[in-house]
Amino acid sequence: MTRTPWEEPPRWTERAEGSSPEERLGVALRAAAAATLARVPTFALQAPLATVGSFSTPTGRGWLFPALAVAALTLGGAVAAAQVIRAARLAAFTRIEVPRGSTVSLVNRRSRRMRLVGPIAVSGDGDRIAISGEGEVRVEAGEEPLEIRPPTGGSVIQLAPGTSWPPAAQKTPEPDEPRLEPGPSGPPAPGPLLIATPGPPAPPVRVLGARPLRTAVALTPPALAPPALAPPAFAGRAVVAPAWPSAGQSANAAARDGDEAALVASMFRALHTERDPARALALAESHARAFPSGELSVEATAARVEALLALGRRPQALEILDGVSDEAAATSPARTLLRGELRLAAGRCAEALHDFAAVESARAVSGTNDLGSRALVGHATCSAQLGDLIGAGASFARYLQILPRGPAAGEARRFLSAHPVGNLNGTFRPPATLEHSEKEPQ
Amino acid sequence: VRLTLLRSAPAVSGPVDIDELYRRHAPTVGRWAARLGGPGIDVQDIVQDVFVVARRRLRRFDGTANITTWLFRATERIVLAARRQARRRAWLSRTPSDLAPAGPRSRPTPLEAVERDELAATLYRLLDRLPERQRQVLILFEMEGLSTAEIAALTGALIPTVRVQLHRARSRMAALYQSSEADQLDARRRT
Repeated sequence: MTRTPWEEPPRWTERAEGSSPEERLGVALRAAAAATLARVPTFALQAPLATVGSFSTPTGRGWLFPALAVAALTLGGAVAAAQVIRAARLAAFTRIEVPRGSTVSLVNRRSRRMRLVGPIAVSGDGDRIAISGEGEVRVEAGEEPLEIRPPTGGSVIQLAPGTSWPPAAQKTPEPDEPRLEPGPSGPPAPGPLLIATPGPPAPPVRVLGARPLRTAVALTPPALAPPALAPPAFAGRAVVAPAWPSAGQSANAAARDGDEAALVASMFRALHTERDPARALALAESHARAFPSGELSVEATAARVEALLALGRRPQALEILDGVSDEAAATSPARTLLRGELRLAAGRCAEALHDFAAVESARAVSGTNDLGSRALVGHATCSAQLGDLIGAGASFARYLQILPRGPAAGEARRFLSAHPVGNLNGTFRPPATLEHSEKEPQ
Repeated sequence: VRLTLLRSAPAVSGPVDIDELYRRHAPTVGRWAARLGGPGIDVQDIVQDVFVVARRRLRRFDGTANITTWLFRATERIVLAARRQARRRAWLSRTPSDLAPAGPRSRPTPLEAVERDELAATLYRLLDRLPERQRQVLILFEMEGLSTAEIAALTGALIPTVRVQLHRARSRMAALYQSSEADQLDARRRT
């Protein structure tokens, strides 16, 4: 039998029972149709729709949780990737630990080559960055050579290339490497240390080598106390070499072993970490006996002065500072300012005026920073005590122009109000309100 | 009656009255589910799932398709998922799928019903060896009594395509049935 293409094929289920496979399949299909139809529970299908729909999602926000899950996974992956990248970058850096309470300067710092890890405070600018706090500094090992300029005055503690800080073991210096001082007893031993002789500024040193980056750690001048018209109070900030052995345990051993650097470090550690100026003063005297002409005499003297001030023995501190020549004092405006303030407190206004003028004329010091403003106040106070009201008024007026809300602003206004002659040159115009005054510089 | 339901179902436009939809199409959906799923699925579950989906999705039904086509496709997907789940459970429990618990029976099973169920189970074992589309076309044509044009309307395929699939399904089914009968004969001889 032939069929046209549009004709439906005969169904197997419509065939009568027979012996052919199609006929037997028709029987099976009929039985299956009846069996499946018997399984349809028609009474259940007439149930109210409320029963059917009770399992539906009421809010219709089924996408929310999958979306949140995808977002969380994406965010977690990004955070993990950032951590891996950060760890990989830090792995390329030389790790330097900064002990608690220390202040170091990284000379020849270049951006992107230094990473600070931990609660470390950074102050200063240019290529001399003071780092204080506890944590670590990682310095990248660059490919191109760096220029290292030792600071004028002070000591330079320089890491040998490729060494960590503090060094784990003492190393034998190479002929071309800086001279290494033996380390103190007790861990860790500061092996590759270079103690540079204080003196005139050295020409830039160009360091070449496989690992050309070097990190210089320099002692920085002490910061001074807030200005005061009364005899100045000194609250010197730490100028500390990195902490090596504790002062109490290793000072005697260091002196016995002749390690001047360790002894000076112990002095600063006693001053700023242990807060024990008496011990620091004793260590300073030990240093004077053991190293009467040591290479770190300037640092030891600075520590001695700081200890005396902390003990309230200002005359002795001033006596030491009086022994510093003007040429040596000129290398440190902070030291000169301290001497001037001590001289002012001692009633030696003429000499103090000389120191304040030296500070004001120093190129590195402007009136906007702490040293400059304190020098202005000291200059005004000395001038007033010497009867130079015009000079005092000019200094106060300049102070108010720079720091209208500074610590000595009230005293300056009272002086200018009481002595109008000090404002004869018209350099000072008191602001009507403080709202329009300049923001006080940091 | 079922053909009347199928052919008289109008194209829906606008909001769908889900209660009316359930009343009119639940028996049809149940029958589709039973036929397509075979003895291994729970028909009530399938019907409930279909109308739960319908209640959620038909709010955005644009009326461009026939509502029965939409319901059939939903039934088809849900039955397919249920069959896959049944196969997965059978594989995990290492039991044949035809031994999986059958759905609730509407009446007590006499001897004829048992024989009929066994025959249906055997037939569905063979149907499960067909490709999915061929299996579906053969069931709708032979058991559901739909024409190839109606099958094409339900499945969204062209009529010639349905006829080709039906031809291939019947040829393959006949071969499978003969092979199955030969195997049964051999098993009887061995026993």
